[in-house]
Amino acid sequence: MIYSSELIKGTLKTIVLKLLADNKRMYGYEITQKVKEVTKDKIQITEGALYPTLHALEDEGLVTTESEFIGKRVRKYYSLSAAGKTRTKEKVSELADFMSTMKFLLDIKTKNA
Amino acid sequence: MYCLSDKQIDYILNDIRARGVEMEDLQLNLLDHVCCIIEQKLEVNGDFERFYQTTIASFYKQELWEIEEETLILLTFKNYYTMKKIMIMTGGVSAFATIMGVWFKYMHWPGASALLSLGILSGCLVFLPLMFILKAREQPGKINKFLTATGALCAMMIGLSFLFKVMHWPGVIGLIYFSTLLMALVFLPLYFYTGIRNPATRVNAISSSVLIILGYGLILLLVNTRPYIQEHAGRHANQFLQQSYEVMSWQNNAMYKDLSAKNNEPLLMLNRQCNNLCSDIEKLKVELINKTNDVALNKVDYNYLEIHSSTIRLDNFDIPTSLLFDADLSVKPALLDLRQQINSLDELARTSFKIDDFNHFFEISKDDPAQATTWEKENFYRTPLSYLLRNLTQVQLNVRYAELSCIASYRDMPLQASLN
Repeated sequence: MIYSSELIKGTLKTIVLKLLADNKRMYGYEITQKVKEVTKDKIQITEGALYPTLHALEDEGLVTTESEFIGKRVRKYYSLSAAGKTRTKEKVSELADFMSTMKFLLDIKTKNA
Repeated sequence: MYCLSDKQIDYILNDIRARGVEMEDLQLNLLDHVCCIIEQKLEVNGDFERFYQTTIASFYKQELWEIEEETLILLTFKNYYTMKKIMIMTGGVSAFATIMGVWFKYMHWPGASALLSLGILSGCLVFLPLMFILKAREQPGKINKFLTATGALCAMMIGLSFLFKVMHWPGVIGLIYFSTLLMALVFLPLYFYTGIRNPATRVNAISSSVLIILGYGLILLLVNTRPYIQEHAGRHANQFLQQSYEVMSWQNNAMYKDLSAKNNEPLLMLNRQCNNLCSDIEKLKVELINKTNDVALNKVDYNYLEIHSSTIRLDNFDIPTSLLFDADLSVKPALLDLRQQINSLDELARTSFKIDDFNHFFEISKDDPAQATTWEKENFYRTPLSYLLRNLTQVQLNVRYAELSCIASYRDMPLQASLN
């Protein structure tokens, strides 16, 4: 089962921030592959969603970038800034809290039904 | 693992650019991403071209530049959705309030000004700027952004100038001139030029330009024909009043005959005085027309006035005023004579016909020397020639009305005497 893009959209920033927190520095393709691998293909981040998010995180100052030449092309590595580290913790705990609330909410609904 | 050549990398980069991605950062990110996929998944002898096309197609729903659009939205519009919501809301409020305001204005209901102000101000100062900010981001290239800006500015100022005009606020002329010039000299030529150069927008540009010119032209036409309608409506009113006066004169004469007025001194005097006054007014009208237009007519000719339409222009009041008033606003003999004749008629009406309120026909009795406005100023000062002629005919008509009430009073006197 692959999750719908609506579900992933709201959590993508948190996913990317958490991955960067765990892996120091990563480039775009690597992030998509890592997510795919960890979630056993259940979550597949599209390019159309990933790059806008990465640019937004960079603009907000949560990630820093380094460019490296790979032959003729340039690879952009992303890593967390100091602000990004704090933000990651907030985002992760917010999402965890949200998930437990959702679980609670859906459990009640199931019981009532 | 497939190994990409420099040529193939250039090919991919050029293709990404050709697909409308303009941000260099994003181009490089996408390039690296595609290269990674190809290197990982394409077999050494695989068909590069075909594999690349399938891969890149999996990046987007309709076009590759969607990714850039989404990036821009995220980058610049942290409040994009709020702004969009406000724009749609104020747009709705503005359209509704403006239409209601126009309706209220037509119906002369209270609140029209408040509704119009709300509608036009929210439309011009909130909706249009927000629309410009949101639209400009979607426009590729500086020229298109500039076009959106001038278009929005023109629309804002045209909207505001309409509001200023309706509310009689100062500065309308400046606003109208500036917005019209901006639209005619900057926006339209640029819009047309950039539009027809691109085959995809050519038809749209031509039809939109024509619509804008037609729409604005029609508005200007309405604004300009208003004085024309007023001037010509004035002529019809003049002729109509003149006819009423003539009918009234004829009717009064018939009544004199019925009452055998020849034998009655007060009636003869009334008839003489009224006729004198009316013919003096007629002479004054001819004199005003002749001196204002430097012609030599023998009588008031409304057809002449119609043909020489400059004579009935609403700004044609300087010469007539100078003929009737001195520089210090005191009344010249011609008008003074009118008032004296009316006063003497009033005297006659009171003594011989027992009519006390003769003057109410002229509203002269209301005049208070302490007040700035007198009967003369009210009716004749700085009044366009066309209106002046009408007011003079009205005085003639009033003389005939007053005359009629005197005749009627005389006719009923024996009856009243017998009743008493």
